[in-house]
Amino acid sequence: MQGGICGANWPANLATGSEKPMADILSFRGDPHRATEMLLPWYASGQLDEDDRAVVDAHLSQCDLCRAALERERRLKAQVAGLPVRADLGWEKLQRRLAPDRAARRLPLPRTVLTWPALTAFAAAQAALLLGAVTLFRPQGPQAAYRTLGAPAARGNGNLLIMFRPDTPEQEMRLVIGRAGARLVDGPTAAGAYVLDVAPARRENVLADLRTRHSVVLAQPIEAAP
Amino acid sequence: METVETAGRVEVGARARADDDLRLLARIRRRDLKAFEALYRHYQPRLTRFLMTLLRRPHLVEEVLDDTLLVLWDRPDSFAGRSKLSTWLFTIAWRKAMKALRRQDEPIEDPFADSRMSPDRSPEQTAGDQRMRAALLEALAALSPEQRAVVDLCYFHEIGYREIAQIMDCPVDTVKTRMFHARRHLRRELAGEFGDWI
Ligand SMILES: [Zn+2]
Repeated sequence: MQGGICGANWPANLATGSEKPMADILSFRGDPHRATEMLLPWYASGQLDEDDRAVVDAHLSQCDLCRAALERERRLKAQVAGLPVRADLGWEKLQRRLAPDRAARRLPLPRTVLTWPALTAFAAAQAALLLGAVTLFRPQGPQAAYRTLGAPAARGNGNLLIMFRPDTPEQEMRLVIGRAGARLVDGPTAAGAYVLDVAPARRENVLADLRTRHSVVLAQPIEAAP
Repeated sequence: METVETAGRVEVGARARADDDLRLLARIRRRDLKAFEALYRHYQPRLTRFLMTLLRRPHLVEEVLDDTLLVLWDRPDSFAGRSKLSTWLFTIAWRKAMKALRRQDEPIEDPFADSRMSPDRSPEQTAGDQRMRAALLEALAALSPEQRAVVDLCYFHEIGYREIAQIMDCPVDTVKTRMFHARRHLRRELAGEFGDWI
């Protein structure tokens, strides 16, 4: 069943594909449905040209299938638009780039943007927690939870935050940390992240290397608290 | 955050925004850093979301984002006012992002290609909504950058197909086709678990 259904030779008999998404069926059927289907995303957001909207309105008024497709389209749109993509990169940092001499010697904010793989992993498990954890490492963020985790480190508080894919075996984690020449300082945090310490001069290289590892979904610098 | 509103109210809001933008640009030309900060703070979240969706690498996103917004400060006169400022910024961001992608030696691969078949990774994750999000993120990750860009510009930023064509410098039909194939892929990926919903 799986293989043939998505192929180019779509069967004329629609009934055979009844458990497949409606969009597939509509798209291979014929012009009026397909034309409508192509425009639905912009119809749903009120962004259609006058002419196109008239065409879609006319077809929707007489097609139950496409009206149902519009409902599904609205749900998909809402779901995609609601995905948690963090979008707060720093103005402070850019400001220093603009006027390095004048800018206050403030510590840079750690990046709080999450990578796609990180989002994928944590959305599966604990979206809210990770967002909280990342905020945790911002200098002005709430830090109480962080302080309660484990004993303070011998050397520094760690300068790197790492998160593994949820299914990563402990052995593999140790291997990755060891190969990076990093020391485990803290973790797992509530969100399952670990705090590592590496020689400051090597940190950029270590981060770049960690990000290439399959088991690592997030590797971010942490700046020391002021 | 903008929400879906009636066309009329959106238009009024857009006009007020365009006015604000022009006023701030005029101040930027007089080297007013506060005006630049205001524009930066206004457009940065939307551009970051767009670039994160597109590039999926924070270090690249940060670089492209700053390069894009710095054009406002360094060459404010290069905005000729032929389009909305937001369209112009998205256009610059798109070009710089594609350049950055081409520069990367390793191709952007889908880091979850091999785990896609086992969506239930952790026993505690029960909420259907979170499973849906995870499935959606994985499905999005498998799209081409061009498809992800159209999906984000259409669904999140609610930008029309003509404006998207302008931003991505391609025919309008190409925008429609990319969106069509992207949605088909997303639905297909979600069909197994969320067939009724999607
Ligand atoms: Zn129809």
